[in-house]
Parts: sequence; C-alpha cells; structure tokens
Amino acid sequence: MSKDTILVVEDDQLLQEVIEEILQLHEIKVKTVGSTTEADDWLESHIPDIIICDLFLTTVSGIQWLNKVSDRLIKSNSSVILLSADHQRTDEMLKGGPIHPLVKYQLKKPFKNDELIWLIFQLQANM
Amino acid sequence: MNELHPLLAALVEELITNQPLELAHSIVPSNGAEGQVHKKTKQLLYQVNAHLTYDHFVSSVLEHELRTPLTGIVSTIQLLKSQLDAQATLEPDKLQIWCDRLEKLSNRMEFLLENMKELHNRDYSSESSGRQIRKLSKWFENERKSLGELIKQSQNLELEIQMLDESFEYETDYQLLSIILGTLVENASKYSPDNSKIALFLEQSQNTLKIKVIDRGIGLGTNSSVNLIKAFERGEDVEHIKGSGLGLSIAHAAAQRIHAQIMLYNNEDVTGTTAEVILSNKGICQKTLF
Repeated sequence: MSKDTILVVEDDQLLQEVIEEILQLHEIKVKTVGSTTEADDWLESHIPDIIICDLFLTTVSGIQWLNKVSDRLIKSNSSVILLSADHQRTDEMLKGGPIHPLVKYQLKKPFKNDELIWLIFQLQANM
Repeated sequence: MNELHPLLAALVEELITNQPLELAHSIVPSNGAEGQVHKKTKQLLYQVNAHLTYDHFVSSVLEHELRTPLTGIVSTIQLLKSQLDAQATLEPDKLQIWCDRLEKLSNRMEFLLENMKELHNRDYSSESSGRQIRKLSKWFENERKSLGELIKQSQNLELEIQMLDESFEYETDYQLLSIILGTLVENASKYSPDNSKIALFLEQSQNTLKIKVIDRGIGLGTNSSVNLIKAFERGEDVEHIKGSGLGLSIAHAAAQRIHAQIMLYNNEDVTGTTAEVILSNKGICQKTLF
C-alpha cells in the first residue's frame, strides 16, 4: 500500500469539495470522506500520508475517532491536521489521548488556502 | 443604559426586598451568617448561572457551525481570486459550480442566524449544573414539567421508565442532558401534528442505557439520521416549520460532551421519528450492571 494520499474527514460536503479542489490544484492526491464509517472503510486498504480532520463530526468528535484509529496511524507514521474553532478546547480534548503526538497542526476555520498547502508541504518535507 | 435581563431585574428586586427569614442552606462553606443567602435569591442565582452557562455553550456551538460555511465561502473566493491572478481561463461550468456553492453557503449562514433568534427564547433554568451523581429515573420524572412546556398545548407528553433498577445512579452533566432532551422534545413537537402524542422512554437493559423520544410526526423522509444532525439540514417537506435545525446541532454538541450519541430514525410501523440518546457507560455508578 502506497502512502501518498491525504485523507480529508469532513462531514460538510461543500467544504469537502473546496478542500479537494485546493489540494488538486497543487497536484496533491486526496481522498475525501464525510463520515468516520467511510474513513474506517478507506483505512482498511489505504495508508494516509496526512489526515485532515474536522473537530466536530456527525456521530463522534474528530478526536474520539482519531484516538480510536490511532494504533494504525502511529504504525504508519501518519500526521494529522485538525480543523477547529477553539484551540484551547481542542488542546484539552487532545490531552493524554494516543493521537496527541500525531496532531502536528490545528487550523482555525476559516483558513487561508495557501496556509493549508504550506502546512501540508511542511509535513511532507519532514517525513 | 441597557435594560436588565428579566432574571437580573428579579434578582435586584429580591436583594432590595430581601427578608432574612427563610434562609436557605449555606452555598459557601462558612461559619458565619455571611455564607447564607435567602432561598429565593439562591434560586435566582442558579437561574442566572444556568442561563449564562447555556448562552456560553450555545455561542461555542454556533461559532463552530458558522465557521464551517464561512470557511467554504472564504476558500472559494480565494480559489476564484487565484485563478484570476494567474489569468487562467475559467471554464463556465466551473464558474457556475463555484457560484452555486457560494449561494448555498450564504443561505446556510442565513439559516443559522435565523435559528439563533429561536434559541434565545429557550429557558434552561435547571438548578442541576455540572457533573452530578443522581438517580436517573427520578431526574427523568422531574424533567416532565419543563418538557411539558416545550410542546404544543394540544399535544400530550407521556413518560415511561423501564429500568432494571429504579435506584440506579448515573454520573453526568445533567444540565447538558436536559438541553439534549429538551431539544429533542421540542423538535418532536414541531414536526408533529396537534393533538398527537410524544412518548419518552428511559430504558435500561443489561448493556445499554438510552432515552427515546418518539413522535407521530412527518418522519425523516429519505434523509438519514446522520444528515439530520447537522444544523443546516432539515427533513423533507419541513420548509414551513421554523427553526429547530441549530437546536439539533446544539443537542449533538452537548451529547459529544457527555460522551453520548444521538440517533434519529423513522418509526417502523407508524409514521413519525424516534430520537434515541444512547448514554455512555462511563457514568454508571453501580458495578452490578453492564
């Protein structure tokens, strides 16, 4: 399994489309999913390079889901960019969880497209 | 000067006319009389606190909900601008997609802001704030009065408790649980006809603990439960029904904070919807169960 794709877990379909377009414009391979069930299915046969995950997903919080799949992500040395509105609260939610070390950046909505791309390139350069 | 919030006005009035007769228990551990407050003052302080807590909670959920469409708008504009700066030829189809997206996202923001007005009228004056260990069935019974005020006058609210153990104690944030239940009941009422019944069940089996709100309303249409949780999406044929979308989002956020899950699905045999709150096993205080 090659590790060259960015997985975007965002339950807002319109925002999924926007992020997909931004990444594709920079020729970044991207897979977007709208739920953790879809994400789990995709993870069965793929390894993500980076996961971009929304903090509030439909049935669970992004952090709850990331903690659930953390073993797999730690093994594959994937990185996480969290999309959130409140860094302080996100830090509290992350504290002590197995996913914490993999969360390299928190990006506050709304973000600059260039900022997202810059973070991805930074992470890819350090891998 | 701004007019005082009705609760604060009542509190001021109470403090001015305070009679040191009916003293409540001390709210501040103290040996002196300064630790005691008048019963009604204490009640008002609880109500003010509940309102402030609720307002803070709603603001944080609303902030997140508004930031999502805002991100879509800002990023789409940046995409458009970058294409113009690069003097790239914009395909009409692509341009149309971006315009449609901007319109949808703007509509969603407007819908959320409209919902805010509805939420400001909600009254969460419960005294139970923060995490507490309480008898779940007793709490459920006590909620009947405030829940009854959220439904239409002609509708009927029925409560049923199916517990393995009536003295069962559960630790959670009961204020957030009240918000969840209140929102689901209010929602059920909005989507249900007059004179209909809304049934509430508190169910405890060997391995699950859940609260169900069952209505005989119009149901979810073809929408799945997951979609309906989001603030901006509502069931089919409900455009004439005001508000409630953001309310579900509030309930959803509250559920996440107490590690509960909300599921919405169509009733099997009759029309209407069942909203199910599956409570986390974390708060269970008796080791004999689960």
